[in-house]
This record gives sequence, structure tokens and C-alpha cells, in this order.
Amino acid sequence: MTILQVKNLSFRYRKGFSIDGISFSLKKKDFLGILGVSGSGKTTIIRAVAGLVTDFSGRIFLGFEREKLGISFQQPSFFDELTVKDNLAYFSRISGRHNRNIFEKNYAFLIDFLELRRFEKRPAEKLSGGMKRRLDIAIALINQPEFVILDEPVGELDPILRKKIFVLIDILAKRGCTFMITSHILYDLERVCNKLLVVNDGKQMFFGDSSEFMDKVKQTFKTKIAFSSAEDLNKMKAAFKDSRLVFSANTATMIHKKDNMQIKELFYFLEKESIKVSEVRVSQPSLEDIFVKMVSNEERKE
Amino acid sequence: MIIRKNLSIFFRNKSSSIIMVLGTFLILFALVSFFSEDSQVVHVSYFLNQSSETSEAIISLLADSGFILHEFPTEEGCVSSVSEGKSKICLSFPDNLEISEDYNESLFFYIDTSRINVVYYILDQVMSEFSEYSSRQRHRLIGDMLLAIDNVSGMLDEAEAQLREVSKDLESAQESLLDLQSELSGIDVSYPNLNALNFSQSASSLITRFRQASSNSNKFRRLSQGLISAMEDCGCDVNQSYRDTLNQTSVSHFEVLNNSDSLIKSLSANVNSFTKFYSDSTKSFDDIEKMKKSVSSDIKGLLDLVDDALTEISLVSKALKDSNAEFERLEIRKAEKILEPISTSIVPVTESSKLGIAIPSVFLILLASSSLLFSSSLVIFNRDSRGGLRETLSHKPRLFFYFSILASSLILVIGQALVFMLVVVILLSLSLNVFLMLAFVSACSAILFSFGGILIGNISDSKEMAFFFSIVVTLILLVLSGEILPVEFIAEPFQSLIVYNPYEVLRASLHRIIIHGATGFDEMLFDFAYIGILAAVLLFLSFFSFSTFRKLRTSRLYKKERKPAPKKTVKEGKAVRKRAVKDKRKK
Repeated sequence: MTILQVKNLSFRYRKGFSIDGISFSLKKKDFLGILGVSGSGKTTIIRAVAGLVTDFSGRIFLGFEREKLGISFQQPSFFDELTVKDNLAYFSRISGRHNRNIFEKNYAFLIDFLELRRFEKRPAEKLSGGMKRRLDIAIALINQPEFVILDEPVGELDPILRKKIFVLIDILAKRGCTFMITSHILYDLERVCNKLLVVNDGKQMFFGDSSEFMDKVKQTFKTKIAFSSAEDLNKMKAAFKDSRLVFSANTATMIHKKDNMQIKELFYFLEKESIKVSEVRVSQPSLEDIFVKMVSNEERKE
Repeated sequence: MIIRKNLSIFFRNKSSSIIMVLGTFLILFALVSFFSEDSQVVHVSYFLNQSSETSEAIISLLADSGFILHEFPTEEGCVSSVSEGKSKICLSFPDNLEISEDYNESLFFYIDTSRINVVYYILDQVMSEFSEYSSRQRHRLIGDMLLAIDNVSGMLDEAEAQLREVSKDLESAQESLLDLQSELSGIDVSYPNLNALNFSQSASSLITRFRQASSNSNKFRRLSQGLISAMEDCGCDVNQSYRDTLNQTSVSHFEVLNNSDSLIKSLSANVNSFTKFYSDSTKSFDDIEKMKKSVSSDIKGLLDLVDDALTEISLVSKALKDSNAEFERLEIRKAEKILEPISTSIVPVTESSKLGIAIPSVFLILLASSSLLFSSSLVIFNRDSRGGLRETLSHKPRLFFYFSILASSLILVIGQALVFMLVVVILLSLSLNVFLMLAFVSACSAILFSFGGILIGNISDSKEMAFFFSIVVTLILLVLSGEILPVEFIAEPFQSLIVYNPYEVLRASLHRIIIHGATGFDEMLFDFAYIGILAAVLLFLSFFSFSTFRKLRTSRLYKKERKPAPKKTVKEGKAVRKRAVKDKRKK
């Protein structure tokens, strides 16, 4: 059963930034991760789905009632002047799905799970950044939503809390909740998402199963070579000037697939020219590295 | 819940604390002013150079009304007493103040503009005494005038009727005169055609002829006798019948003539007497002719006079008709004397600095400023808070949030107003009805100004701007109410706006309730109808702005949360890479 369908979504801000041609669909219990660097358009997609942007072009189909939407914004959104308990009670009341028993039950669960019990009578403005993030997530989940949107939910949290949030998300997902999470950290999403939407500069780079994308990512490596002398570096620059090799002060870096010919040529050249290297590091590339590669591929195609 | 949330937001916010402190200060200020003014004892100075019955009556009226009066020998001294704060008002009576059409001098009120509220409160009381006095004079003057109008009107009607009679008489007289004139002209007083002289002469000739005939007849008889005898003597053969006929004829002829002689004599006598009588008659006809001429001239003169009289009458009649018509739409020329038998002038004295405030004005200032500030602040607090973003996702209608702000604002305002009202009620010993009226007007004011505050909050970008707008609106309302500046000091084009100023309308209502103890709506019905219309307009505008601006502000909140210039970073990244590629190529 399709619970969300977005077709050819486009939106332009007055200052020029826009998202263009975003299309994806989700079924019930799907877990969509929206991946993209900061400012790539993730939040705009969320705004459109949440109904905070109305003047977009394209079509958004919601297969659930809006009252059943729970949302946690990138910046904690609640009344700083109210206490933790008052905020949760207030937003539960105005959600349109308030039920005293459900609220009490959820409240007790969330406040304990997110370790906010000690601060329930403290005004929200006096909470730390992490606590505020937890409170915002608690507000999003207080009324047992069917569709949850979490915008960068773990960005400012320490690893323990980050883990805890994902455990909570797991619990809710198992209860049948559909999730839509944005993040710029690939491995946060890798653990929980079954669908992935990758956006860059307002454009959709990828939408599909997360495993498909992760396979692509896992076959990609980042090789970084540090040179001992500038002479050797210059030799390399001269030899590989038209390659994908990116040079910095004393290093050369390349993102490549597992059996890439160029990397083989590189090592062959190093051996042949007896170039001394101080360090060779092979690692998984960051999301940004992948984007850079994707973008450069796109440019080459053009 | 939502009201509790609004109140929590309000009380925890620093800006609102400032507003609350200001509001409290206003209350304190009002209370201190109220006690310091000692409005129960009112000192009024006056200067009276030459007293009159009217001025004495006014002074005794003021004294009877509880004002403490101080007479000053000079006008300067009287004015100084106001500027020195010894009295609230100085009354300068003109010499021999009287109520008459020709009297144009004014009664001067010297007042302290820096204490304008108290001064106007007292002025109002003094004026109410004057108005009572003026009212009596007005009634008297109006009574006199109406009586005079009635009299004149009656006399005019009578004169008109009389004139109509005279006109009718004159017209009939004119007709008679014309008849007379025609009859007179028809009288022939010329000599008769018979020529009496000829008649006399003919008569004389006739008599003479008769006498001649008689003599001739006599002669004839004698001749006939002679003839007969001659005939007989002559022996002529003459027929006897001829002689007999001749004899007989001469005899009968003679007899006839003889008989006619007496007649002739009689005729002669008669002719003589006729001639004499005729001569006398001729003289009389001359006299008649003369008299006819004189009568005709008199008639002509009379006709001319009647014509003139009729012309005059028609003019008078027209004048009377005009007068009557004029009288029907008669304007009371000395209306100002009737409406305001005593003309007054208010002269400000500006030296004093001690500030006094009347209760209704202070109360309304408190209500207006608090309502504007509280409601605009609540709108801003809700809108600028990130919690407000979540509220936009709620499925509660916008009206729900709108009225929650209104209700929260009203709770805050009425909370403040209640303290003030209780103090006023206790101090002035107002009845429960008056208190209820006061509460009703306060609620109306709070609602009206809260609508305005919500509108201000929605169109303002920040708390500071909303605060500024609220203060500006309050000041504009105050300036256009004659509270800060007397009406005379406001530019003429703006003076008419005072009537439409809701602050002034509500202040007048509060004044009626607090000062005069009004408990009914009779006098204030139109005021409240006007306030109701204004409130409806403001409700529409404020809700429209609430719905529209809420959307816009939400998108602004979202923009805030975007990290700075991400796109630029990407572009810069591209640019850097491109530059690097170019450099490479160059090398």
C-alpha cells in the first residue's frame, strides 16, 4: 500500500535555490533515508511533504491522515518558555489525536527512554542541546504517529544517544511506523533504511533500495598517497595530469572502484620510477567524496 | 491549555516583564495622581471688577455647588493663583455681565494646560453649573421670544385682514366714483336749444302783430262797417248776402281779435315773466356747469387718491404677505445668545508643571496601551517561537489560535483593569450597577484594542517594532482625543477626527459612568454601535493578517534553520575544481 508518492516535485526559493524533479514513493512500513550534503534540498522535500510548502509544482500523494504525521525538525521546535511536560502535553493536545490514556502511556515511555524524566519540570530553554533534540523527537512521537519525519535527528547527539535514538526508531518501525529520515551521514541511514533518496544541489541523484546504493558505495575506495618529496609529487603530477587523481600539498587522492585500471597504473608507475611514498591509505570514501565523484561523472557525461 | 501556554510564554519573556512593569507603573501613577489631586475640594479663583445680577448669580451658584471660591482684586493675581497651583481655574468676569443681545463680552477661564485632565474635569463641573444657569436663561429667552413671535404673528394676521377690508372698500369706492364720474359726464348742462331771446322777441312781435291785427281788425271792422254803410248808401246793387257775410265776418273777426287781445296781454305778461325766469335760469346753469367741473375735478382727484391708496394697499398687502411668510421661516437671529447666553473663553496658563490625571482617561490609557501591547506581544512571541512552527502543522483551525491569543490578552488586560476598577469603586463608593457598567465598557475597550494589537503584532517584524507601533497608536489616539492637547490646539483638519476616535468615544462613556454614575445604555447606544462596527472591521483585518502573515513567517522560520550558504559552498567547490583543472592544463 503506497503511503506517500511524490511525483516530479519542484520548488524554487525567491533567492534562487531550487529543488527540481524529485520523484519517489513509499509503502507502509518503508524506511526512507534522504541523503545529501547540507543545503542539498532535503529539508525542502520534508517541508513539501509536511505541507509547510504549498506553492510547489508536481504532485504529492499522502496515503495517511495528516493528524498521524509526527515530525521532528532540524532545529528543535517547541516553546522554550514551557516545561518539558507542558510542551509534550500542549503539542499532544493540539495535534487532533489527543487521548489522555495514550498520552500518559507514551509520555511515560518516551520520557524514560529518552532520559528526560529528571528535567520534565524544567523550562525547555534551560535544557542542553542534546536534551532539546530528545524533547523534539519525543514531541514528534508523543501521539503514536503512523508517518514520522525526522530531519537530521541525531546530528548533535553523542554516540550513545545516537544509538539510543536509533533503537527507539527501530522499536517504532517494528510497530508499523513509516519513517522518513534525513541525514548527511551515510552510515546512520545504512543501519535502518530500506529505501534511499540521494539529493545533491536540489536534484535527485538516486532513489531505490538502500542495499543497491550501499553496494555501489562499498565497491568504491579512496586511495590517498603521501609523498616524501616535492620532486616525486611533481613527477606524479606530470604523469597523471589528465587522470582523476586530485593533488594537494604533498598528497594525491583518487576515488575508484575495486578493480580500477588507473590505480593499477599508478602503483606500477610508483614502482617503475622508484618514487618514495611516506603513506598509502585505502579507505571507504565519505558521502561528500561520493557526491563529488557523482557530480564529476555527470559533468563528464554532459 | 493554550491560554496557559500563552500566559507562560508571556510571563517568562523579558520584554513582557517590561510591559508589565510599565503597566503597573501606570496603575501606581494613576493612583498616586488620584490621591494627590484631592479632587473633593476644588478651589476656584475669580476676578470681578464690576458686578452685575448675572455675575452674582453665577458666583452664588458656584459657591452653593461646593466650590471654594477666592476673589482676587486683579486679573493678574487670579491668573497667578492658577499658575502657582493654588486653584484649578481662574474665572475672569467681564464688567456688568448680563444676558442681552447687545452684550458681547466673554467670561474667561484661565486654566493650566499641564493639568488638563483635572482642569477639564473641574471645568466640566463648573460648566455644568453654568449650563444650569444658562438653561434657565435660555428658557426665559426662548419663552419671551416665542411670546413675541406669537404676538407679532397675530397682529400681522389682523392687519392683513383689516387691509383686505380696506382694499375691498376702496375698490367699491373706486367703482362708485367711476360711476359718478360717468354719470356726471352724462349730465348736459349746456343752454337748451330753445332761444329764449328769440322767443321773447317773437312773442313781442306776435303781440305786436296781434295788436296790429286787432287794430287792423278794428280798422277792418270799421272799414267793413264803413263799407257796408257805404254800400247801402251808394245804392249799389250789392247782394245782401255779401254784406251780411262781411258784416258778420268783421264782427266775428273783431270779436276774435278782441278776445285775443286779452290773451295777448296775458301772453305778453307771461313772456315777460318767462324772460325774467329764463334770465335767472341761465345764471343757475352757469353755476351748475361750474359746479359740475368742480365735482368732476374732485372725482378725478378722488379717483387718483383711491388709485394711489389701492397701489399702496397692494404694496402693503404684499409686504404683509412677505412678512408673514418670512415669519413662518423665522430665524432666531440671536440664536447664540439663546443657546449660550453667557459666552465663555478658555485661556491656558502654561507655567505650572504639576501633573494631574482624571480617572476615566487614565483608566482608558491603561486599557488601550495594555491591550495593544499585550496582544501584539503575544502574537510576536507565538510567531517567533519555533513552537509556533509546530502549531501551523496542527489541524486546529487558525481561528482557534487567533482567539486563544485574544483570550490570553484579555485575561492579562482585565487582570490589570480589575485592580484599577476595584480601587475606583472603593474610593468613589460606586454602586454595583455602575461597577458592572464599568466592567462592560472596560471589556469592550479591551476587546477593541486587542484586535488592534493583534493586527499590529502581525504586521510588525519584531517585538521592538510591535512595541513601537503600539506606543505610536496609543499616542495618536491620545493626541486626537483632546486629552494631551485641547481640541483648539489641534490642527483644524484633524479636529473633526476626534468624533471618530474610539478612544474619545470610550473615554466619554467611562466619564459618564465614573463621574456621572450612568447605568443605562440610552445615552451611549450610538457610541457602542460605532465601537461595535469598528471592532468588526478590526476583527476582520486582524484575522486576515493573522492568517496571511502566519504563513509568511513560518517560511521565514524555515529559512532560518538552513545552514549558511550551502549552495555557495558547492559552487565554490566546483569553481575550485574547475580552476584546478585549468591550472593543470596550463602546466
